[in-house]
This record gives sequence, structure tokens and C-alpha cells, in this order.
Amino acid sequence: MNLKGMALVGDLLAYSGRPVSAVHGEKTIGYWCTLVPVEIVTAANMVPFLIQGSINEPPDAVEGVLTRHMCGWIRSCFDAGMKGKYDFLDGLIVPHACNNMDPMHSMWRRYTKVPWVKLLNTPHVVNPATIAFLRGELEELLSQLERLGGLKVSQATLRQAVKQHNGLRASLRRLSLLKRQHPAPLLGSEMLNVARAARLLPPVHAQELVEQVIEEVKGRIVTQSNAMRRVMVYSMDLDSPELIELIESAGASVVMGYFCPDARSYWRDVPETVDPLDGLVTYYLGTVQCSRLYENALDITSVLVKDLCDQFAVEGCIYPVYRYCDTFESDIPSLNEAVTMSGVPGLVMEMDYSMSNSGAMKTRIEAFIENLRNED
Amino acid sequence: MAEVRKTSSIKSTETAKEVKTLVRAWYQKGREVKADGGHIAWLMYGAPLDLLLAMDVIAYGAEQYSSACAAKQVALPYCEEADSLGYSQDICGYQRVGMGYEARTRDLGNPPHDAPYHGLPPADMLISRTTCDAGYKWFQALQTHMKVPVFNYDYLLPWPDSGHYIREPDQVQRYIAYYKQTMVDFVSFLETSTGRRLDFDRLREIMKISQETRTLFYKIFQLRKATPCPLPTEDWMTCIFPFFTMTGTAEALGFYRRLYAEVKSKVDNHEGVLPNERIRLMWTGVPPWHNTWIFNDVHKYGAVFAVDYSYPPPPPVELDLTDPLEMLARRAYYAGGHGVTCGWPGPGEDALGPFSGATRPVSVLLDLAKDYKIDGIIMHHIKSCRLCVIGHEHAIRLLRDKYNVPVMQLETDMVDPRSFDQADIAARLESFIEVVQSRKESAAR
Repeated sequence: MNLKGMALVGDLLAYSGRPVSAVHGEKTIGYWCTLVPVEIVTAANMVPFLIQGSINEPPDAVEGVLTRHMCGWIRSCFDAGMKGKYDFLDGLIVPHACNNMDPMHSMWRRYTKVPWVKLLNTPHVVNPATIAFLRGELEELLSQLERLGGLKVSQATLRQAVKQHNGLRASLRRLSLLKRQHPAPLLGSEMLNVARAARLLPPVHAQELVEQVIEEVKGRIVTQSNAMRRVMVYSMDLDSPELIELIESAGASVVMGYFCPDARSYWRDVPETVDPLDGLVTYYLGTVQCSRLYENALDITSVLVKDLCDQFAVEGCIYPVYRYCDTFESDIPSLNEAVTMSGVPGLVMEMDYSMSNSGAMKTRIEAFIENLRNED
Repeated sequence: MAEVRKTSSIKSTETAKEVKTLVRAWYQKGREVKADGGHIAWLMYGAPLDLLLAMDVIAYGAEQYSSACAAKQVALPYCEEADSLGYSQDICGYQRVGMGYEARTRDLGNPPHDAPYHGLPPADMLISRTTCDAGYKWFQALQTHMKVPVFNYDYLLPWPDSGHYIREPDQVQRYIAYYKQTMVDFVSFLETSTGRRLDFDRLREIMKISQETRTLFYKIFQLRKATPCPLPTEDWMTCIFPFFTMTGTAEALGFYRRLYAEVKSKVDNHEGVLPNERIRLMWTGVPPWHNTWIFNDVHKYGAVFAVDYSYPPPPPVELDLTDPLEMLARRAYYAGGHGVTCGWPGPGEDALGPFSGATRPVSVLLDLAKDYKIDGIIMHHIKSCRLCVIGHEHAIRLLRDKYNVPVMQLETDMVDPRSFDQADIAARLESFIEVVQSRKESAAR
């Protein structure tokens, strides 16, 4: 079997595991969230492998272990871990992203077979003290991975890994930018699937895959109903294409997905600095725009939203917010304000990490799209 | 005649009854300081009070004010105000009450007439803290309305690394160096905000008072091991106020000296809350401040909440005033900046995380249950607090199934009264106590 492009994307997502991710028997290190410096994993000759949830699968394994009053996405990911889906991992890196994620390093250690679990203590604010602290965290992570892999990593190797991941980001951006066309030649759910699949491969292989997809998409002849409206989805971790498909089935073309593991994780590059750790600290502390970063206040969000709306000729924004995601739920009033300030109509949609309520969600989205049509 | 619904707890120690007066005086002091051109801070607990006091800044805990609103039965309108602002009821109750209070005060131009203590003295600065998500998201939102300087105390907890709390010396040093730099930055912030220089000799004096207060706070908690129970949860939850707000002041020190003396006397004389104490319970998590009567309500069954796992003081860290900022950093690492046990060692196989409620190691709960001779544990499952609840199911499973400890979970909120069904909770408590009693009798046979 020699699949390429979108066919390979589908295959990778249907079957994820060590045989695919580790080409030459490299160790596979799971990670959560865009806050984990995958460059360090790659430099240590290991494969970074994104942990993902499954919005359609009932999280029955975590009943009696994790409360319902927490982020459904993290619950779903852990459910997959408890069911053995990630038993092949050689290690896992859990960032201190939020209170929902914090206890996960201990939970994975206790309830799964993953032999090595590392907590990465990422600060929330940017100042000289936190920069120095995160640098220490990254040095410690590098040193622990060196011990795990029995390999000393040089600065040149780390710089090379930064370059490789930036290359992957650049390719993902190029693919995403194709959606500026009218009509967009790529569905939002397809874009998300490519971004998801790319996180299961070493960066060089992932970049090859994305370039194949770009060539395929360029060759597409796309026709679209005039009734379709160009929409941006802005959210936190939204790894299930089902929700994007639902939005698209309601009459929207999702031309920009600013969430993880979609555009938020590739929209900007890691600065390529002489000491690669300098660039990594800058990127992972201040560049990844997530609501868990104190500096990511209303003005920054609204500027970003406005800029993306302009670039992609967005007619409306949809903001799915998972219940119990304290950081993003706390942003709802300011998101509403950002919507107003951006001048682009918006729909803030609180939801569980589940499609069980998809009928009601679709009705809301259809009403929103209808309003967009009426504004023409 | 219809039964009057009780919400406030009744205290059994005389010293606990002094807290009301202390709190009123503290708020009055803030208003006087403000009138004289002094400085007021709103903060999330965690930032070192010693530094604020040394800079003559009077601090008010935002969480404490929300709990006061709940205790005074005025939190509901603030919760509803937060609803109308678009805040989800899933997020921190303290945060919702605080945002609702700030919005109503902004609309009125003054605190609402029923605000506890005539309202929070207006802030000249905000001090957030990142230990929990609400601790910085709340202040990030406040910052958009209150044009005052903000210090973000990014208190990165020394989480267990690779399952271990006790770290390598270089790791410990890295944390302490970070905390120290944070203290240095905090001093710089305070100096800029107040236009004053920090007097290190004054800071040392305050830290001595703070150290004695912390030591007393710890020792009082240890006295609670005595049988019969000399200081129940309903009293302890009131007595924490001076510690979290006023540590470093002579008033707080005096209060804990008196409390220690009273509790010690009760222990020596075998005086307890109940004449015939039959069941000793443990409470975990922040209490439902809008109804602390539930702690008294179990007395009718001969039961008492003898200990609680909400604000257990850590052992004091040895005081070395050679470099006060280094000392504050070491305290932040080993004992938590404000007394909450963030870096308390002792993981055990059941470790989950170092913070609140049952996300702390289950082994610590078991040790407490043994040391304080506990017959059953009631876990407050606060739907709006991730730190408190994520590990609950896991902890209950272990405690109940592996260690055979009776455990009950109560699902409400710490300040939002809408999730509190008193009749249902009373019925559940009664059933649980029957189970505990039955288990005790079986064990005795």
C-alpha cells in the first residue's frame, strides 16, 4: 500500500500507533496541547505524537475515576489512555496548561501503561523571571529525554529540529491559505484532519504529506452554492472534525480554524535563534495565543480575530467553548466584546465535548448562517 | 410555626467569636487608610502578605470577600449579575460573585447597600495569582474595567515531577531562584505603585510576627487531634480569616495566641464540642459559605467535624532572615506562599497532585484520618472548582474500596446558593452517619 495525500491522512487517523509514527524504531513520545516543545522531542530522535480525544466515543472507562465536572476533551483523551489506545507510547509530556490538565500526569502514570510521564511547568505570564524559569524547564526536559534515548543532543541538532517543525508549520499555513480562494478548495474538516495527521509523524514526513495534499487541493475544481457563508471557527482544543462537519453541513464554509491542533499551532514560527532554546522559550511562552496566557487579553484577541477575518474574507465567527474549560469560559464576555469590536457577527456556543446534542447545535448554527445571509 | 432555615454556624470556642470584630476592624482600617491617601490591594491569596504589610498596603482577599457575600446571604444577586454578563455557571463561584459585585458597584458608583462590611475599599492595585485558573482569569477581566496596576504573581507550583514531590537539589534551587526573582519583581511593583522604598528591617520584624503566627496556626491544627474535639470545622473555617488576610500583624498574632491558649486548655481539660462525642468526621474542600450550619447540624447525631482538609497548615519553615526575599521564596516552595500546602512532600502511590481537596495525595487524607481518629469523610464536590474535584472519583474509589473508609460526596458550590438543597443534604448526611455508625459498631464487635 502506498497511499499519498488525503488518502494517507485518512489512513493515519484511522490507524495511529508506533508502526506508523516511528519510521526507524524511534521512541514515540505522546504530548498534549500546543504548549509542548515538540522540537526538543524531535531533536532527541523521538517522534512527538499528539494525544487526541474522540467526540463520538462515550468516555465510559473514566466513569468512577474522573469527575464529569471537568473538561470533556481531556476526559475523552484520558478515556482513550485508559482503554489502552496509547499503550505503545514510550513517554508522555503533559504541560501545565490549565487546572483541568494539571492532574493528568499523575493520572496517566497511575492508570495507563505509559512508562514515563513528564510535567512541563509552563508559566502564565511573560517576564524575565518566567523566561528564565521556562528555559530551565526546557533544559530539564531535554536532559531527561537524552537519558531516555541514550543520546546527547547538540545545539545544531536542536536548531535543525526547529527548522523542520517550522517547515511543517509553513506547509500547513500554505495549505490553509488556499482557503482564501472563493470558493475555498478545502473543507475546514479536511484541513483539521491534515493538521491532526501531521502531528502523528516525524516533521519531515509530515511536511511531505502536507505538500502532497497541497498539490491535490490545487488540482481541485470546486463549485459551491452562493448560499454558503465563509466562517471562522475560533476555539481552544478542538480535535474532532465532526463539529466542523456539523458547521459545514449547516451552510457554512469553514475557511479558518483558529484552534489547536489547527491554525493556532502553526500560524507562527519558532524564532530560529543561535541558541535554539531562546527561540523555543519565546515561542512557547509568549507566541502561542491561548486564553491560559495572561497577556492574551481582549485587545489581542480582537486584533487577531479582525486580522484573520480580513485575510480570509470571513463573514461570521463561531466560538465553540467547552463546558468546564475555565480559561476559555472566563473569556466569554470578552469574546462577545471582541466579536462586537471586530465588526464580524459572532456566535459563542457553549457545548460539552460530545455530539449527543448535535441537533440543537445545528439549529443554532443554521439560524446564525441565516442571519449572515440576511445581512447581505 | 414554620421552622426558621438556619444558615450560619454556631461557634463553640470563645476566641472564634472574636473574628467578626477583627474583620470589621480590618475593613474599617482599609477605609481609614484609603481616606488618608494610603494604598489598598485586592488580591488572590498566595502573594506574600509580609511584603504588602511592610509597604503599608492593606490587602483584601477577593475570594474572602466572595465568601463573606455568601455567608451574609447576598451572593445570589452577584451570581445573577455574572450570569447576565455572560459568565457560565461552570466557572469558579468566587470569581462569578466577584465579577458580579464589581459590575454592580461600577454601575451604582458605590458598593450596593447590602454589600458586606460596606463594600471592599476601592483598590489601588490588583494582585492576581496563577495557582488556579480563576486566580488570573478573574483579575484579567477586572483589569479591563479597573484602571489600576496589576501584578501577576505567577506562582508555579512545584508539581510532582515524574511522580515525585521531592526533587533533586538543583530542581529545588531552580524553583527557589524563580520564586525569589518573583519576590524581587513584586517589591519593585509595590515600590513603583506606592512611591515608597521597602524597609528591609521592617520586613524582618513583620516576618518574625508572621513566623510566630504560622507556627501557632500549625500547632492549633495539631491540637485538633484530641478527643473529644476541641475545635470543630465550623470554628476553624472562621478562624482562618486572620491567617489568610492579616498574617504579619500584631492583631492576627494576638488572636492566634488566644485561640491556642483556649484550645490547649480544652484539650488539657478534655472539653469537647459535644458532651458525648460518638462520631468524628472529616470535611474536604472549601465549605459552602452560604450554609455552614451543616457543620453544626450533625451534632444531633453525636457527630462532629473534627478536622477538615481545606486549609491544613504546613509545618513552619525555619526562619532565616539573612536574606528576607530568599526566605519568602523558600517558604513559597516548602510551605506555600500563604499557608496552603502546595509543596508538601509525601506522595505515595496514590498521589494525584499537590493542591486542594482530594487532588492532594490520598495518602495524606489517610494519614489525617488516622491521626485525627476519623470515622468518615465528607468530600465537598464543588462543581465550579476544578482544583478541588478532578481527583475526587479516584480518591473515593481508593478510600472506599481499598482502605475501607466511609466516604460521601456532597455536590454543591462554595458560594452560589442555587445548587444547595438543604433538605436533600440533611437527608444524605443522616444516611451517611447511619452507615458510619453501623461500621463503627461492627468494628467494635
